[in-house]
Amino acid sequence: MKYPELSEVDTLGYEELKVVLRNLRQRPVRRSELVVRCGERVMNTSGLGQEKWAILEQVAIASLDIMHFALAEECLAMLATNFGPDGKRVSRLRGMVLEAKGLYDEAVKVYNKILEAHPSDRQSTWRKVAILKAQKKHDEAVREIEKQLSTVAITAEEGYLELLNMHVLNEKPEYGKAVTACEELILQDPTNYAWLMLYAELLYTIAAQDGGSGRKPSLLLSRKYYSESILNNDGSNNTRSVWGLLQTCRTVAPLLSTPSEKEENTNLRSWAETRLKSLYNKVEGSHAGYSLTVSK
Amino acid sequence: MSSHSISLSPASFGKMYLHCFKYASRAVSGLLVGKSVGGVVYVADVLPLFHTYTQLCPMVEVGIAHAQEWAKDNGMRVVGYYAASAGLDDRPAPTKFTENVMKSISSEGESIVIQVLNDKIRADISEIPYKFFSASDLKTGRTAESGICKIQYLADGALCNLGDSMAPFERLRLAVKEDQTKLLVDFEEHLEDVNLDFTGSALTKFLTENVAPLE
Repeated sequence: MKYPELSEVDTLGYEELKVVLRNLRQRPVRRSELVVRCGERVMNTSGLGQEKWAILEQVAIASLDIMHFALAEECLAMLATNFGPDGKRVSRLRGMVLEAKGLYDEAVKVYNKILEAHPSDRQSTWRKVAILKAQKKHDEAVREIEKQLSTVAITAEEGYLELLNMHVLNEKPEYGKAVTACEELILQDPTNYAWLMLYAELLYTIAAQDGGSGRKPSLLLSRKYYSESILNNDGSNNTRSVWGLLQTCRTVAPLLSTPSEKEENTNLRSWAETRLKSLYNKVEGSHAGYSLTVSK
Repeated sequence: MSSHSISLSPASFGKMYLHCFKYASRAVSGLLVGKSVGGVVYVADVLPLFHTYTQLCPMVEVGIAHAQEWAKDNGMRVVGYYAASAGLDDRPAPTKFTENVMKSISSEGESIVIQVLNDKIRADISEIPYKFFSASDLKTGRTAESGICKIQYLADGALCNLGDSMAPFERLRLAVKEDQTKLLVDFEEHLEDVNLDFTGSALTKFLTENVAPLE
């Protein structure tokens, strides 16, 4: 989906702006400045119908993302006037304003009050986790997610994905725990090529750190999962898995001993090299030349 | 040997910044391409790598291979790695992963790590938002202090100052204002669409326009 450039927003009509905002609500794309620029032009016009409240909420959250607190509070005031100050979504937005300003203790009180009345409110649960992350309380955030995974507050997919991200992006990554989280993701959706690719990358990374006997089995398993990812998506948007397959074949090659192991590895490597060559031969630009050289 | 200063081309200075600006809420990483000039590491260009899962090995290794080919084609080598953490107030410090990346790079010659100072990334930028460490600083744990980063050009084998030292900042402010971050393509984006050019020649041209060496 193509979105307008920021410089094009002033040339768009109201109906076009509403379509842009609607598309940005429906797809999880973070384009906060675009939302604010479009929203500022339409939010005070008539003719928005029932979309008005969704637009105000959307613009408020985007405003917080770019620290435009005045606009966020203006939207919040309009929503509170229509829905009352204590409704679930208005309260949650009020909590997000406090959170964006760094007033974490007050924000947590707001979210806790929402959760007393609505214990399975997913978004308030995640806001509390976000506050723990912002406060650099990594271990507490992990414990909170693990606790919520046994409730209906958050879905398994989003919970395990967040756990995986936290373990990998930590200053001291915990790849073993990330692997466990990724396995849960694959159990949820065994044909998702992205989870399969991620699992392969985690295994490769673990192998890279292992100077001992665990290196070869991790690399072979990584090779297998890159292959599974390609089997589930052999489109050009999964070129990363083809590169991963080639890299794994190259890295594991010196560790193989039997003729059958070497033959299988050679066949997989040849396949990956051929696939990359056919992809990059169709690409214009000098960068393709570097990729072709690296893939040989 | 520890260097007390490094030199950045206007393009490399701008591209690292725009990589952070484009993915403002994420950790980003990339490779530095350049050469040693009179004992000073000169960063001629950068290859932005990732904006998600910056600490996974396989694609970093593939990225290094690409950077080495690109560098060799331009008479350069891979001189280091840059990284920015996700949080605004994160204390910048090279991680264990960074040290491992540097082991893959250091064999080519003197190398550096550039760590981005997130609280200095702003639309009205007027100071260099980076600190650097040499590979030997990493090994000895001397990461508390940093030397001087200068923005310079390489001409006839020598580093030369700019005619207008604020010109790179003005181009960068213009790049932000005109939403030129779309010209910044990292290796991760390239892996999703191989037609996207990670060498960023169009962005280099934009960032170096009207940024001339001192005559």
